[in-house]
Amino acid sequence: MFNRLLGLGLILFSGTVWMLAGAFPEQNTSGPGPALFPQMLAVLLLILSISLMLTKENRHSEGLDKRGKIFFSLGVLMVILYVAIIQLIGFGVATLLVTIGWMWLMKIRKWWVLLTTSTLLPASVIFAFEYLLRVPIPHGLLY
Amino acid sequence: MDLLLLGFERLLHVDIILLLVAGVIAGIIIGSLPGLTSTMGVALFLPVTFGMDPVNGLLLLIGIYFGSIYGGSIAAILLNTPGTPASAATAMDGYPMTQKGEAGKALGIAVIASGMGGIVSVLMLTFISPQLARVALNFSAPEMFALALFGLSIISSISGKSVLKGLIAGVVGLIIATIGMDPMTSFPRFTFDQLSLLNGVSFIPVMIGLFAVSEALLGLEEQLRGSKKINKVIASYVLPKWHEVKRLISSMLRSSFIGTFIGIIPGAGADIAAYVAYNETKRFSKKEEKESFGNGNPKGVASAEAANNGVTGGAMVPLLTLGIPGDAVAAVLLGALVVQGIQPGPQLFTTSSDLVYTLFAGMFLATLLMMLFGFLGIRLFTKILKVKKNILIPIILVLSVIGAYAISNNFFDVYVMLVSGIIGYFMKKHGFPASPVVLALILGPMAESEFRRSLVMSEGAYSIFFTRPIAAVLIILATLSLVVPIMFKKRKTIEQLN
Repeated sequence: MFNRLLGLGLILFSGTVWMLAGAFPEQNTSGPGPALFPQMLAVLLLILSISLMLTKENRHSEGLDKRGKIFFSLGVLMVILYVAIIQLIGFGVATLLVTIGWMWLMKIRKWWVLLTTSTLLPASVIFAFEYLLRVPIPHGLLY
Repeated sequence: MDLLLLGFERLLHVDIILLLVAGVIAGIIIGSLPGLTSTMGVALFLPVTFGMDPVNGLLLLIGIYFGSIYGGSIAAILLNTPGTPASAATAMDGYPMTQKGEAGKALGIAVIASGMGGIVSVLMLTFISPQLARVALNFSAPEMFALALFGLSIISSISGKSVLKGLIAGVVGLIIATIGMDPMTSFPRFTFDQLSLLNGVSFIPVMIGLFAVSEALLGLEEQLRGSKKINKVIASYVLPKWHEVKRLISSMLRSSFIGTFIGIIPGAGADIAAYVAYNETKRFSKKEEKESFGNGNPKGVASAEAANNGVTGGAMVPLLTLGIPGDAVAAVLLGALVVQGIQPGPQLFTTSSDLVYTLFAGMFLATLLMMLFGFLGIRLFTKILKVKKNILIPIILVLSVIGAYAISNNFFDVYVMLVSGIIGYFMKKHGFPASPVVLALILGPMAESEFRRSLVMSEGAYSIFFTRPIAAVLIILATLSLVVPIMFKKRKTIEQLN
């Protein structure tokens, strides 16, 4: 079922690529224009997607229980939020928060491990990137 | 030879040796940090060299260059997070070796292979660079397209269990590579009026996402499932034994030559060399050994590392003999030479032969120092694995974010990395390999622009790809490289069914 659904999605994707590329202008000089390569790839993807739909599946991956799924989604959400708030509150504080959050999700409950790791990690990254290598890191309202 | 010995003599100064040591160590650290490439490392230190003596300044940059190419393999092997694009191919077998408890051995092999790659390329640079440069100049658009195609043909052999899924991943990667300004007409393609997409999707954040973030998400899932597998990685310090190294010598030598040659060709860098050499080693392996590639075959690590370090000397050939940089790092080094008032080109060997041979000698020494610090560091590097995975995973996540941001101080790259990470997680869950996407993003732009340039050259005649001997041979090899693994797998399935 998964192969068929994915294959269908990829067929739609290849169709979209073909159509969007169709609107590209022709090249004035000799030789193909900007549409050729994407359209060639769209056809190739279409063929491969059909082959995928016809392929037998042999998936045996173990899934998560309901609680696990909630916690996993929470982990993904935390990363998305982390990336979103770095610019607002700054790399240092955002990293401290996400590190505590992820370590807690990963079943670390010792407060001193949570505290030292979440403090040392952003501090060492800031020191290495900003002070040693002079690579700027994003700062925000809270550093 | 006398000039080379004189070059070594000029290196015998404490300040020069210390600069090389500092350069190599800094390079190893920079290379091991995801997102910080060799080019970035050399560029970061370029302003430091402005006030230095030309030899000192250039040797510092060479130390960083050589050290960073090796450094990239450390994170690739230990954390499945390639430090530099050049080490993406190393992760394919390096990380499975770590999972088998052979991290020390994998790092040891990477050091030896890197050393051999470096030495072979510097030897070739020293003794036959003008001849090599002439061969490389025969590479025009059709040959470059054929080389890119040859590189892409590797997809079928790095696809793991399903070639079909590998090919789908590769084609999707090639489509993503067409995003941005058209290489010939500058027409914006699939950009949807977003300025951030005009320059296309950079493959480094995609690589970090697909390799590192997806691994972090899988780690979280394992932990939530309560699996004990997560803590099974053994932080071993078992170095490769001589008989094991002996088995790898032919692969390392072949890959070193491949790396050097690809390094000479302008526009083709260490990432391409590593994949091509990996595939060639797999092709040359015995039938029963082929299956172990991607599952922790030491030859995979050796070939990728020998090739990407082989590029270091190779890239210097067109730079010093013709003034054409072979890759992005060589372009930064060209800047360093010009700033120092040195104009690379054929005249350089006659007007500044002492400087040229001191640089050659410095490259030898940088390679030896890289091996020394590489070996000394193995015990320290493998200690990373002693950190519990539930602490290590958040660290990988944070390094991925800052690594993606550091490429161009652009938050768009961080979003690309994040999306790639989530997609990479689902890809891994459903048996889609990540490497073909990265390979396609590296080679896609080169393949397309050279393909179209060739057709402009031939006024639309496709025969140009078959009438030029180098291009024709590479296209035949690419076809074989693509088809043979598929046929091999099909035959095996039929045999199993019988």
